[in-house]
Amino acid sequence: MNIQMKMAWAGLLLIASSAFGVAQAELAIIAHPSQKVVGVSQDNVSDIYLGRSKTFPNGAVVEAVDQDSASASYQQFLGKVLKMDAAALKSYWAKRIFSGKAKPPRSLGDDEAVKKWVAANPNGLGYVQGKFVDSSVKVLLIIP
Amino acid sequence: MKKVLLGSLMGAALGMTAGAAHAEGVSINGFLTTSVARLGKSDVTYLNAFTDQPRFDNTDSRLGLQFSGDINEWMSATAQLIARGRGGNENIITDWAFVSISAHDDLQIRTGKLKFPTFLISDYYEVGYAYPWIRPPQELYSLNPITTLVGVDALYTVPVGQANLLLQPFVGSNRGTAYVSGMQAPAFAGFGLAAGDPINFDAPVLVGLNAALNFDIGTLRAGYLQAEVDQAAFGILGEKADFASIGLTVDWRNVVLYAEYADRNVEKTAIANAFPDQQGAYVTLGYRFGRLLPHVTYATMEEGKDASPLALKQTSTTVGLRYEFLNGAALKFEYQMIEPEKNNTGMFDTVIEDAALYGVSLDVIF
Repeated sequence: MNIQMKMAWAGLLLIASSAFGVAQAELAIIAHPSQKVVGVSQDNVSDIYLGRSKTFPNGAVVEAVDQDSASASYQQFLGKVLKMDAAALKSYWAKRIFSGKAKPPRSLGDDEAVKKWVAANPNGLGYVQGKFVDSSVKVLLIIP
Repeated sequence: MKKVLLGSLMGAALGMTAGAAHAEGVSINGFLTTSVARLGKSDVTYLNAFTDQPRFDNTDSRLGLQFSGDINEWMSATAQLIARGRGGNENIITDWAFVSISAHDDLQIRTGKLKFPTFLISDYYEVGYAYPWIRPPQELYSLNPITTLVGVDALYTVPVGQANLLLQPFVGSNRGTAYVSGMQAPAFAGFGLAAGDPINFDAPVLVGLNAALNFDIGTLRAGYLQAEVDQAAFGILGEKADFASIGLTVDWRNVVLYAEYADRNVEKTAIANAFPDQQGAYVTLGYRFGRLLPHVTYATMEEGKDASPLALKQTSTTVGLRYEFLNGAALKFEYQMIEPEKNNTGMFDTVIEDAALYGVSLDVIF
C-alpha cells in the first residue's frame, strides 16, 4: 500500500469513526483534536507507552496517559498493543524505573477520565473503548 | 506507583517551586528482597556470607525506596535508598541520587550519584524481582566491587531499524570495598588480614562506555570500564584496572536466555595482588510456564590474561524456580552446586572440593 492509499484509508477511518461512532469492542487510540499527526502505527503507540519514544512519527512531543490495571480497556491495550502480560510489563518497568531511565505513563483511571484529559491536552495521547469517542477527541488508530 | 501529595511539601523543603506547572508530586517506588540461604557443608563460608547456619540477615536481603519528582519541564530528580539486611544499624545507603536533564528527545544527561553499567544487569542489580536468580551469577558479578560513581553519564538513544541503540558514556569517582579472598588470605596474613576482611580502596577515576542494542525480544550489550585505583597500604597508586564485557538477554516465546562474559585486566604491578586478572562467564536458560519460570545456569570463573596464584577458579551449576505468585511478587527457590578448581578456594574462604547452596527468596516491587 503506498502512502497516499494509507492516508486515504486513515482519513476514511477518521470520517467513519467520527460520523458513525466506533463499535464497542474496539479500542480507540485518541489525541487532542488539534493533533496533526497522520499514519500513527500500533508500534508507534507501543513505543510511546513503553517509554522508548517521546514523540509521534512527525516529531511532535507526546504525553501518554494510562488507565488503571482494573479497567477492561487496560487489559485489552496490554494484550493487543503492548503485546505483554501484566507480569512481563511489571518486570519491564522495574528495570527502567529503578535504573532511573524512564517512568511509566501515569494512570488516570477509566475511559471517561482519559477522554476528558486528552480533550484538554494538546500533546495528549490515550486509549478508550470506541463508544467513548466523541468530537472532543481525535481518533488516531482503531485497534479491532 | 503512588503519587503522593507530600510532593509539594518535599518540593518546598528542597527549595523547589511548589507552584510550578510540572511539580505534580513525588513518585515513590520500592523493592524488597528477603531471603534465607544455607550452605550444605560446615566450617566454610561462601561469598563472605553463607554458612551451614541459615540466616535471614544475609547479604541478599534488602529494601529499596526510590523517590523521583520533576523539577521543571526538562529536569527531574531521583534518589534511591537501600537498607540492607546485614551490616548492623548503620546500613542505609544511597545507591542513586541524581538530577536528570532531558537535553533533547534522544539525549538524557544525569549527574550525581549513579550506578554504572559495568555488566548487563548492573544498573538494576538490587532489584531482585527483575531477574530469575536469587542473586546474579557471582562468578561474573563479583569482578567489580565498585557499582556506583559520583559523576555524570549520558543516555543517548539512536534508532537502528526496528531496534534502539543506547550509548551511555560515564565518568566519575568513588571509593569501594573489596574482601580478602581465600586465595589471598595466606599472603595477606602479614598485613594482619584474614579471608573476608574488608580492604577499602579509592577509585579517583572511573570512565567507561556502555552500548546496548534493545530489540523486540531482548538486549545485546557490550561495555568497557577503566578504573584508576589507589590503596596506600598495598602500595597501589594510580594503577589501572580495565573491565570489558559482552552480554545478551532474550525473552522469546517463553524462552528466557541470559549469557554474559567479562574480563578484568589489571596492570602487572602492586594492584595485581589486590585484584588479579580474572574472567567470568555464565549462561542461563529458562522456560516460562505461565507464572512459573524454571531455569538452569552454568557459571565459570577463571584466571585472566596474566596467570596469578591469587586468581579464583570455580564453576557452579544452579537450578532454580521463579514463581510469580501475584503481580509484583515472586518467590524463588534455588539449588546451586559450587565446585572450586583443585587447590583453589574459589569464592569460599578456604580450599574445599565442592558445596551446595540452598536458597529461598521473596522479591517484590511496589
